[in-house]
Amino acid sequence: MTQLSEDKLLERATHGDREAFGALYEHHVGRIYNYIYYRTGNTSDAEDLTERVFYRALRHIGNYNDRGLPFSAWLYRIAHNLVANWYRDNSRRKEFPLDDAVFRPRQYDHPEREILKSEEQERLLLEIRRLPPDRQQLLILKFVEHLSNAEIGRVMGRTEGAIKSLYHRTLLVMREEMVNEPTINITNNDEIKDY
Amino acid sequence: MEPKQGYTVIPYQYNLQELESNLRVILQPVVPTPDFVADLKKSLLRYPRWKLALPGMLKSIMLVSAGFFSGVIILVTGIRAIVTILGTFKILRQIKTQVSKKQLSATQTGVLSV
Repeated sequence: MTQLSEDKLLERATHGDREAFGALYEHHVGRIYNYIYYRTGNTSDAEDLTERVFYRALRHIGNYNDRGLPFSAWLYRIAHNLVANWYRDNSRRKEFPLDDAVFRPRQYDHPEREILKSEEQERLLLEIRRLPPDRQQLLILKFVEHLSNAEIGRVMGRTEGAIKSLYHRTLLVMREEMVNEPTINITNNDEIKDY
Repeated sequence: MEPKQGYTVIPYQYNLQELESNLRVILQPVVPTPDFVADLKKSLLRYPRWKLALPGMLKSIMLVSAGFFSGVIILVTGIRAIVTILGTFKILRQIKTQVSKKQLSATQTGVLSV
């Protein structure tokens, strides 16, 4: 979808055109779902919150104010608020099921190596969830949505330089957290023998 | 810590490139099920218009009723204040009258006794 056509759709949607809103929905539902999925960690909550995001967007689209930011920034803000409410409501729940899709091994490797890799990935994902929301959003936009720093800056309302700096600081914090929690790793010299 | 057979416990020695590549592996796009996407679109398109207008209407009703009740409270409080002030003046005037009457009677009594 080009920016021009999105602008036109947006204009029509703000005047109550449901079909235009439907087209915008189809274009953005995937990325909003992805964002929520990685923030909450499970598909059922991701579906529930995605639904709420778009209902809220539909209710307030008439008041949408184009401030030169992409429409997705508005949707991300709604999603961000709803996820924050979700965290507040579920504050007693500390751990999340890390379900499907994410840890599916791409190709067959040694089973034990796969287990170790999977554990390492789970830890890394938990580290991501411990980050402040803006840093989580940054990582999701960068790695899941493959947006450039400039695009992330537009979505998050920051400059490209600020995003670069935030990203670097995030990596440093994550590395520090991972270093502080030693884990079992396979050394280069130790080969796992086949059974 | 004693090394286990075939494994050694070592701390993480990530460099940032390694961390980035791990993040790239972990943070893969996930796709919502087509049924979910289609069902949600259907229900969004069918969502009744009156329900969309409801939050706005509720807001207006709330604002109007809040304004009305505030106005009534201010009016009642004002009237009560005026009544209280007038009542106080009345009491003061009565006291003043009584005092002057007493003074007058005392004066008359004094004159008579003299």
